[in-house]
Amino acid sequence: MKLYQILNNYLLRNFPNIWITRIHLFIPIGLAMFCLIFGLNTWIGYDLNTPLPKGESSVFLMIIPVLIYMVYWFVFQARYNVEKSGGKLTLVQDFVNYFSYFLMFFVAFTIIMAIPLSNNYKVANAITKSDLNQDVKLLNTGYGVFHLNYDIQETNNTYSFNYVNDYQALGRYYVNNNKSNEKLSITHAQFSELAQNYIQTYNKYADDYGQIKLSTSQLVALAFTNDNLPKDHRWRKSVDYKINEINKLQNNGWYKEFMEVEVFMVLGGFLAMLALLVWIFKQIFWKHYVFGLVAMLLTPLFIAIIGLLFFEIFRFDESFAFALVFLTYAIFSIKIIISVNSKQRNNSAIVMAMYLQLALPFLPLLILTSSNSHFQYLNDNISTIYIVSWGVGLISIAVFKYVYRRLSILPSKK
Amino acid sequence: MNLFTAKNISKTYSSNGFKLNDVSFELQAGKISGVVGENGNGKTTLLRIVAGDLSFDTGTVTYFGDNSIETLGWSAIKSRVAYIPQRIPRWYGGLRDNLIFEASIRNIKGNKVDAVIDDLVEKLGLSKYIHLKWSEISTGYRLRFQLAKMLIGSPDLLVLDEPIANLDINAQNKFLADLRAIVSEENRNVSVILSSQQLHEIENVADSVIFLKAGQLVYAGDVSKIGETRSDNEFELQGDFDLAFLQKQFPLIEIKQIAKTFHIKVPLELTSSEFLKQLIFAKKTVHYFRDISSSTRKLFNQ
Repeated sequence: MKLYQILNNYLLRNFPNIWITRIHLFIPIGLAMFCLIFGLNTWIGYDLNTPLPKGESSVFLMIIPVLIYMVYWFVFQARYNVEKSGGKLTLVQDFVNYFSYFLMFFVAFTIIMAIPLSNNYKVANAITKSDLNQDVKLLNTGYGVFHLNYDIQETNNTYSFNYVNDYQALGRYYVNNNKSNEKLSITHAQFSELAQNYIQTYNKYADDYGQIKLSTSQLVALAFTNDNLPKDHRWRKSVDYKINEINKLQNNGWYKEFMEVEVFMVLGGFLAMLALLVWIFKQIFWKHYVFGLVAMLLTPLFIAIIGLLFFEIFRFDESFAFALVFLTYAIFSIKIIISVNSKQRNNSAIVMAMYLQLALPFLPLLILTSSNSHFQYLNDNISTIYIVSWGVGLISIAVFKYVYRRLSILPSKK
Repeated sequence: MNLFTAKNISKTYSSNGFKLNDVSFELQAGKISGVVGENGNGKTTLLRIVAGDLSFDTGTVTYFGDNSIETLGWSAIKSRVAYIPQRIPRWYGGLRDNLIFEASIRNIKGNKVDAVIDDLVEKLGLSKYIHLKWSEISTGYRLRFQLAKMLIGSPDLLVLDEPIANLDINAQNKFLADLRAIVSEENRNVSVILSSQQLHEIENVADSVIFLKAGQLVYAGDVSKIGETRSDNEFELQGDFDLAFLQKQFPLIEIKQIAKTFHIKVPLELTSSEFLKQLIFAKKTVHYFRDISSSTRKLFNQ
């Protein structure tokens, strides 16, 4: 607490632009929330006999506390404002603030993901890799004998049978498929041990209601009656699935599922837009901001009406749609330029500026799509477009900083 | 130096038809100007125009030594103007933190921050309240803190809309006295314009006064020059006498009675002391008397 007070006081006196973002308070709180949830969930641990934990519902569960966390943070953003209080921010300071907002949203996202991530972590660490490999081998052997084998021959107390590797999902990872028709010969004692190991290993992963309830001798006896355990035992599938999931998490990394490039691109874009929304909030009056938000929320409805009118009733083609969109960009831009050079504040121009700034990062994609809408073409260029869009978004901060300041500082009409 | 000059400015609200019409005045460094007038007569409109918060339709204004708006730009103008609206915006957090924030964003750093804040807090009598929060202080102290906040930026023009409207009489006098002291500081070059309906208090503190009636400028000039060219004297009084007595005692005067108070217009030759002498000789008790001959108060009666 004392450390926080020292830091808080230092930022207040020396870096007020960072002090007002309150990231020095909310980022540690967010990370502490993440660590707490992650640690608690990991501490609770994972019992292999239970179904794999599902992350989807926990994501929804975490949205409420994260929303509270973000709303509380946002309230602080409404309280202090350097430029509205008469101070000035350099462009670099504005970018620092923007990325602070981005960081806040990223931390909020990690809190939402704390349970799915810790689920993966605890599942991956529920058993060691070598133990899992050993279990898979035992399951494959046992499955071949007790589920599929119809031809066990006994000679001088030695049992010979075909080793059948039909534990397919597991086989993909662990068992050399060339061995699948290998002939194995083992003693009675070894056969009993095989049965015992199979029951133990299978039951280690099976849910309570899917356990093999047979004793070792019962299972051995079953192997000679041509009355094997069902081939498509449905509980086997859950064990198969569970082992595969553990294996995937151990081999690929428990966090990899959330580290796909595509996921990061979409997430990065989404968080960047949210951060931009907060940055805009700091530039304009709340009344204009609310109007801007409402305008954006109504856009889909507006597009639907226009779409119905022009494309369903009048049957205009795609190029007309693009022309309409580009015309809208142009009209908004002209209106803003005129208002910036006016002597009076124009409220609708401020709302339009907010709208235009949020729409600008999508302009590169629209231009590309209008030039060639072939899926493959778009797919080949998506990385470039993504980077260009980010660039446009960042440049817009520099341009619109001036626009908002100019539009907001003008005297109002009434 | 003139920090603000308005020449023939007009502003019409299309919604209700109110018009602030053809107003001209000047605000000078080191002076306090009071804007007085009844409710809805254009005081706030005028102050907002001065603060650059509201546009005007016709006329011209100049800031800080006859510089036009085009020459200076709104950004430069507003950085030198502090406007405190009638309803003070709420602050959050500790009052000292807010003052430090104000100093910090104006690049006042290091030990100077505390020096500037302590000085202002001391002058405005806020030392006892510095560690409190907004919700823990009275309206009067909120106003003082807001003033301290504004003064940190060392504005050249301080615009206060009805600052004393919600203060008790002692708080009003204390605030206005502090304001006078701040304006009179040698190292400050600030001009204050404030609106109020407390005529007596404003006239006590202001160097000049702007009187508005129905959007028209009735008077703009030095307080000491109000009534300089008058043709009669005006008094307000209350006492143990009635209208008939006054009419009999002073046959040549104009008398209006509003509640217990008599508004009396007498010839210029009849001074206030002479008037009072006559009442005393008639063995009447005077409970309240005010000579408004040189006050904007008489402009309300016109």
